[in-house]
Amino acid sequence: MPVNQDTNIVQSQLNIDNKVGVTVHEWAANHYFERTTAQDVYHVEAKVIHDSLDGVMKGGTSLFPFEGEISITWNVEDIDADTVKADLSDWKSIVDRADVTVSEDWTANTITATLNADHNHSDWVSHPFAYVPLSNSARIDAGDSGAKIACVMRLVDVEDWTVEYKTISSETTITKSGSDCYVFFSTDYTIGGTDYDAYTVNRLTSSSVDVTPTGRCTVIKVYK
Amino acid sequence: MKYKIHVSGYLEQTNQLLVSFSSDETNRQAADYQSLAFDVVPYGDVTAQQILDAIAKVAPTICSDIRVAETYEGDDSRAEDLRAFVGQSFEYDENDLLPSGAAQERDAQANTEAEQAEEI
Repeated sequence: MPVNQDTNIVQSQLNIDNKVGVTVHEWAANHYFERTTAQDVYHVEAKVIHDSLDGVMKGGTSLFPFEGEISITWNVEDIDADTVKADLSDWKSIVDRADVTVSEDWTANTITATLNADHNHSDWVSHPFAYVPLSNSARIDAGDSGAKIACVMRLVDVEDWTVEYKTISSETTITKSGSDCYVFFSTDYTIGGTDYDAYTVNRLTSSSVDVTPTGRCTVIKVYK
Repeated sequence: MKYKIHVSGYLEQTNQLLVSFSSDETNRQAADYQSLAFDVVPYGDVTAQQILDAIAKVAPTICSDIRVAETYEGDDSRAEDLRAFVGQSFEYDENDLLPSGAAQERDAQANTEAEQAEEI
């Protein structure tokens, strides 16, 4: 199987309106995803090099950790090592965020990024790894305390969707974006006196909704 | 679309039927095209008509190939590129030839019966 994984799926909405799909993974410390070829970069399905950085390529932007910690290790091919090294500082600038830590090991030819999914984002942010080091294989591991991850798949018009997320803890107004807008909440929540379960995906048709979560909540907005 | 098949021979020693094909879109009639030899043994214990009917099923594919050949316009540049391949060997990774796992997974999800999102 090209995509190796050991995961625990707790919620599946594989196909919502023939447009998007969302699965939620609750990881123990030993859970992981692994790809052995760049063809298995989700939504890219090829080695697509950055416009100006030969050592950087497009990453899969389907996995959105919202609790715990994950680490991603990219295995750089020997033949690409110099190219990746030359562009590494530029790549680090691209992924420079408070919730991301990068380390490198040029004995093993690996670059590892750790993502702290417990970090609160008060403003909307996009996927941290839209670009990744040039690599065929990579592996995502849960941190020591595990992780919770939403896998957001765009089923049609893959290039047209925008996915962004933020953290809320009290009543917050969520504004519709684009003409087609889906929202995911990581906790149970209430809108106008109606209770909704965590992890369900709703279509936002109102121009905005006031959402009250039951605790620290990651909101993921998928729109085009 | 109408297809015609022309039986130009039956080789008893090798149990082969020689058949050629044409369609409404091909430039010539079936009898004018080169025949293909079909082994009749694999069809088993069936009638001659059933063998002919089974062979006729490949007519759309054969006639499509004829149309491609008849409408092909030469490309000197491509011919030069193809000549450059001669004498060389090439290797492909299976991942370049088969759909990726990511693509298969996305297709599988897209083919799952859709559920309607609640509107808020």
